Amino acid sequence: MRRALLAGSALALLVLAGCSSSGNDQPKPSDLNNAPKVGQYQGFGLLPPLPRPSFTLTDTSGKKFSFSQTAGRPTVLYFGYTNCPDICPTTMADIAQAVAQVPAAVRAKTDVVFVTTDIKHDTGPVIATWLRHFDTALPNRFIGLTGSQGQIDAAQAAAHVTLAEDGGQTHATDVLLYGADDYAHVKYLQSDNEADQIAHDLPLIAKTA
Amino acid sequence: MTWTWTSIRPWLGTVARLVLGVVWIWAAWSKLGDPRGFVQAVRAYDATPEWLSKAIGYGLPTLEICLGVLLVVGIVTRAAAIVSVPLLVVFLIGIIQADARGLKLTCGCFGGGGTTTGGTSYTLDILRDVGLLVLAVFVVLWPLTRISFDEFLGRNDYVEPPSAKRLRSDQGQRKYNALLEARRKEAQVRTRYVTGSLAIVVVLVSVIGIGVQANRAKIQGDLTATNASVQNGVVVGKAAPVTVDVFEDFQCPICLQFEQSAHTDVAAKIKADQIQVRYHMMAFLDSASSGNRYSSRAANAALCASDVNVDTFAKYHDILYGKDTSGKQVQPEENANGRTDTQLIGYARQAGITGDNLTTFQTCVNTEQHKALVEAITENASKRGVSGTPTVMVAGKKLGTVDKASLDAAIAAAAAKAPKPTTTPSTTPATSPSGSGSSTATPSP
Repeated sequence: MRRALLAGSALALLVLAGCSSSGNDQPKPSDLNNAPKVGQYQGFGLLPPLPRPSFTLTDTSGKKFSFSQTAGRPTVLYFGYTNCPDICPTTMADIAQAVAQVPAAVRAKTDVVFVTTDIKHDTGPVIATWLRHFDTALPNRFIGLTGSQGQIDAAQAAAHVTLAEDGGQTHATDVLLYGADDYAHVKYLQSDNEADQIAHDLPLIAKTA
Repeated sequence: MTWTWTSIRPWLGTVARLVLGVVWIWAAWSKLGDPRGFVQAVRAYDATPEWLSKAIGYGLPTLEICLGVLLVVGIVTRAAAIVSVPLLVVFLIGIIQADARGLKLTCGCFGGGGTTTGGTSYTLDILRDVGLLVLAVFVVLWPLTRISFDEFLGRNDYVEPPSAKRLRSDQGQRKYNALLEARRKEAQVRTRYVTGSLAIVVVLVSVIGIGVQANRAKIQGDLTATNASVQNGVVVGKAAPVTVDVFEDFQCPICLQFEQSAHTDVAAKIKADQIQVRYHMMAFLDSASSGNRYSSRAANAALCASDVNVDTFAKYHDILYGKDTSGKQVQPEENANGRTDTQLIGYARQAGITGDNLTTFQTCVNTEQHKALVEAITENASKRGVSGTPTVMVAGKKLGTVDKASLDAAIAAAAAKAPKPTTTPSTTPATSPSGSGSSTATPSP
């Protein structure tokens, strides 16, 4: 009798648990996106971490720029295009906001690199004008890069992001954050609190050396 | 499942890699234990200068071990196979040149080596090396094999190809090629680092190996004896117009034949002061006595006999190449148990060693007192180009064929050229039965 009662209550508990997990308490995908919390980072932890890629492109003033120039410094790497209606400007704004939030010492060291995926439209001056919308209040100007289609493809492949298509308009939204140890331990996807996540993690990866 | 070339090739590669690797390790293992012996085997090829013989003798086994381990583990497989190819080619050249010049060698590939008394197996050696060469070339051509470390390192290099339809589009093909190129570059950089660092490790290990082996090859112990020296062995007879160097091993059956045919004649010539004979008793056939090192122990016992006096040495030497009191041949069969120390002491009684001398002799045999001297005499002989026994030099010139007739002819020729005694007094130890304590026993390093 007693055993049956126990079994019954256990069953009831199970049902309850089942209900609650399939009920309204279930987090929305966007919630998960907003607070992934992998390890000590608030962004998506990368295991194994991705090594800092090496690629050479052209900067907004037309000079050669090798990504290895940023070695040893906290670096944000993002692929997008300036004509972008939503994700790219929001992401750039989030990055700018995050960099503005972190301690001044970290801010002074941090580089932000934007690589265009739409080489037809995004010439040096176009990228420069676009980037100035975001970085005016910051100590380091954002670095805008372009190049030939082959170079852009190679850069994306080296950074292990999905290669852009449709003239660069379908592109990876990953924001890769390379630390002082030249590894990306964490990346970010477009979300409501991307800026806070980056601001939280940036001082952490600035220390890893 | 159908077997296709592409599906079995990596497995064939695994087999090739493992066979080659195991052979390297096995070859090295059997040589590591006897560094001096292997240097002597290299010298026997008579194709390298002394410094190179030493470098090969001490360094090669370590290098072989390294290659073997790399191949068995399957890391930097291609580099290890690439290094294996010239090594095997050099071995092949060594064997073929030895064969062409009529040297009778055992290859020393797996320890041992030197001139052989029995038949050679050049054809087999050459076939084996060619087989290994084929395996090495296979691995060089297709280095990625199953169950290898290389396979593990490259596990993330794979790029999933897009669908056939996408691959036909410019965009799809472009993306695929870009990804392939990126992964290929990453693999290249990785290979460069892994190969570079392992190459440094292998070089360091080989250099250390040369040092360790050279150190182990050093002869340690007392190199002095009353009537024997490293350079001259035991000198029998007074200073005479012609000096004869005889290099023998008590285990060697051809030495036995030579001694039995020539020894009466040689003894007579010594007595007549026509020749002076330096007996260099070598020990390099230890492996032919089922592990009881008859060569070394017999050579040691002969030197112990020489401590009594040179005549006793001559008698003892003749007994070891003759018969014991019961008429049995003293020299043991090859690959049978060698004579025991007790038997060696018995032969001393037969040679007329008695009293205190016998006690000293017993201690000398039981403690192998002249072990280091025997090793030094063997090493010295090898340095002088003696790669097998019997070797006889008349007035410093090596006899082509060692038998009584050519020995007599050479002695006659040398005597005609040098009517006066050519030997220096310092190489003439006392031949009086009392034995001279001041006779030369110059230890050489």
